[in-house]
Amino acid sequence: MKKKKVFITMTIVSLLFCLAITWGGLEIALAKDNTILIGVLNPMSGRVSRLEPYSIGAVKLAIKEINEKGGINIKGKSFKLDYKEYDTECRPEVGVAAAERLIEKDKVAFILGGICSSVTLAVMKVTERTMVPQITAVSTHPKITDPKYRHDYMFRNKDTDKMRIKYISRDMAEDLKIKSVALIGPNDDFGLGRSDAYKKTLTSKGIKVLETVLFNPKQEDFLIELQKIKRNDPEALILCVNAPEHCELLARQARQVGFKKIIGSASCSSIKLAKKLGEAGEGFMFELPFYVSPKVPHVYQWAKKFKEMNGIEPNFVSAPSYDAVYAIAEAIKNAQTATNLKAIRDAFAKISIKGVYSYPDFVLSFDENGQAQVASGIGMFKGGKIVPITGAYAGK
Amino acid sequence: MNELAFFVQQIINGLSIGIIYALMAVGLTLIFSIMDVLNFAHGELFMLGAYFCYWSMHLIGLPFILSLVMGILVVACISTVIERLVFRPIRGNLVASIMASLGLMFVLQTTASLAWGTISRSMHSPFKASVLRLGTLFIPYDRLFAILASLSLFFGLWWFIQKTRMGKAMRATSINREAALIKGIDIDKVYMVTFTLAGALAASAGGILGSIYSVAPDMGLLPLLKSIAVIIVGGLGNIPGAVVGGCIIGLSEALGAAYFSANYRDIYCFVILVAVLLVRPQGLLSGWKR
Repeated sequence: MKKKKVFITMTIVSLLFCLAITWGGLEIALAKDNTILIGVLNPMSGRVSRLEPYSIGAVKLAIKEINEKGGINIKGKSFKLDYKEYDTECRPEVGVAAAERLIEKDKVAFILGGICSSVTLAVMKVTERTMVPQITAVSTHPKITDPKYRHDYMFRNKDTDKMRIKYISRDMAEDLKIKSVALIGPNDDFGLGRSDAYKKTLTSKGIKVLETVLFNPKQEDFLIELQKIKRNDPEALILCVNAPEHCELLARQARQVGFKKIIGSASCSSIKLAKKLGEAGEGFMFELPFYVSPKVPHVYQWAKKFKEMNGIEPNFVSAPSYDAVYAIAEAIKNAQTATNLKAIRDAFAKISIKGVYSYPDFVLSFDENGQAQVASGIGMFKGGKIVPITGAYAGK
Repeated sequence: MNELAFFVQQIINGLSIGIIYALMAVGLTLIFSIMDVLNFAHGELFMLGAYFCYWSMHLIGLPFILSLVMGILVVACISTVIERLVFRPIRGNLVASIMASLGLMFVLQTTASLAWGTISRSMHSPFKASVLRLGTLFIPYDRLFAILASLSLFFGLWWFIQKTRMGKAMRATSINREAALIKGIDIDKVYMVTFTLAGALAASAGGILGSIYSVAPDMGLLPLLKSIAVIIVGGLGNIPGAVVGGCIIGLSEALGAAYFSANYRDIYCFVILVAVLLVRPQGLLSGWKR
């Protein structure tokens, strides 16, 4: 009799348990029906992972704002926007697996990512095959929007290496009057792409490129490489690096070796770096594709909101990531579909919205190669602060 | 910088790297010579030392030197617990000790990743980018500190082993364990002190290198591999050998990177290792007394 009671109780409990799971599952399924997912690919571990909070913070802020305004209206029905983020470890094979998971399992409407050029290039092959629209807000490798390599579903609201280098090289030659440089960067897609672009453009501007040094991306000690470069006595050292950690290590060690003029990439444009370098950071220059100025109220207000929500100052990763989410939402609204990815892609290609990236009166739109036209300048650490010295933010 | 100055500069670079390898390798060889254990988790003690130093600076707000001491003390305590819980129960079983240290390596690394994330962190080095200049030669203060701190620790270790009662007991145990037991030496205590000392040395190397480079959960692997190369080059279980081996490996890296290719800098030490194994498999200083 006692055994029977135990059996009946266990059966009831099991049934209730199954019912609870089914009900929960149903709820999830229903929620999914009213939600449009954006897939986000970011390096959440490894060297470039320091940039991840800046990207996902912007995605969260944009989604929160869009949903608070009522979400996306498609044929009279309101859809909420949400995101699913996976770690790429800044490794192409991990990025590809994550992209496939986003497309096949999570059924995302759009992919935003990755940060590392090598990952974006690898993921492009997946989005080309599956015809899922993809945008990168950070990768700068020329191939991404090069007509020879790109596909119709690929977009970028960030400048290419070529575009960035065009502005920086011009400023180096005309404003800073630099005569000779040496380049140093990691032996990966970013380092190779950036140093190649610099070599061609600087030479055409009459600046001598005395040496190009590529190092193992996992390396942390650069004293010997820098001492070898110093023997050729270049006027300036250009850091072709994507990982903020490389910026810090190279900037400090280059100062130790005695380099006076150092120009870092955009990932060096962080106020944290100025604090860490202290006096050695004074006069350190970097590419400045984005700058928060009280003279540009909409960017200034946005930066305040970003800091309130995420506890960090926005940077060159946050601003284009935020714009990208708004552009995706606008394209879905214009296409009036959450499932027809071809229609979303077509609407995205015609987008024209006011963004926070990159220069004060910037309007985000794409050319026939899916590339937004972005300008940049050079900034410098002065008194522990970022000061634009060339380009649109310096009033030039 | 002329050719001679460049060469001397590379010698300085090599010695400053090598001395840190030696600091790590001395702990490894100490454990091997006394306990007959090759501790693959030594790199993780190095990593923990760097992390505790980092957190002492950034959470508690201690100055760098005190943070380093804090890191060393915490890891010394952890090492004592590890010896008691992991290695003491399997004492005398070489295979089990290797497997246990490998397991411990993964456990500590995964725990650090889960607890602190995989993002690499950088300490606010008190030395910033300042350097000591001697004509055309220079040495960054952070590396000068690394050299001086390592030399002080080597001296402290030498004094402890040569002059103290426990040090003598450690030497006796490493020469003949059974004889030491007959003489009434408390072997349990010797093993515990050995492992604690080795952990403290690894933590000090981690704290010092973490302040020059960066701190991450996987930061211990490459130094561990290089330390193993160092102790094989110097002679397994030989403390002066570990110091000499560290300097040789550091110099090979610096000179190889300067005169051949910097891209293969992590390979030069293993080339030296193979060369030593072919010419003198027992290690360069194996004839020296422990």
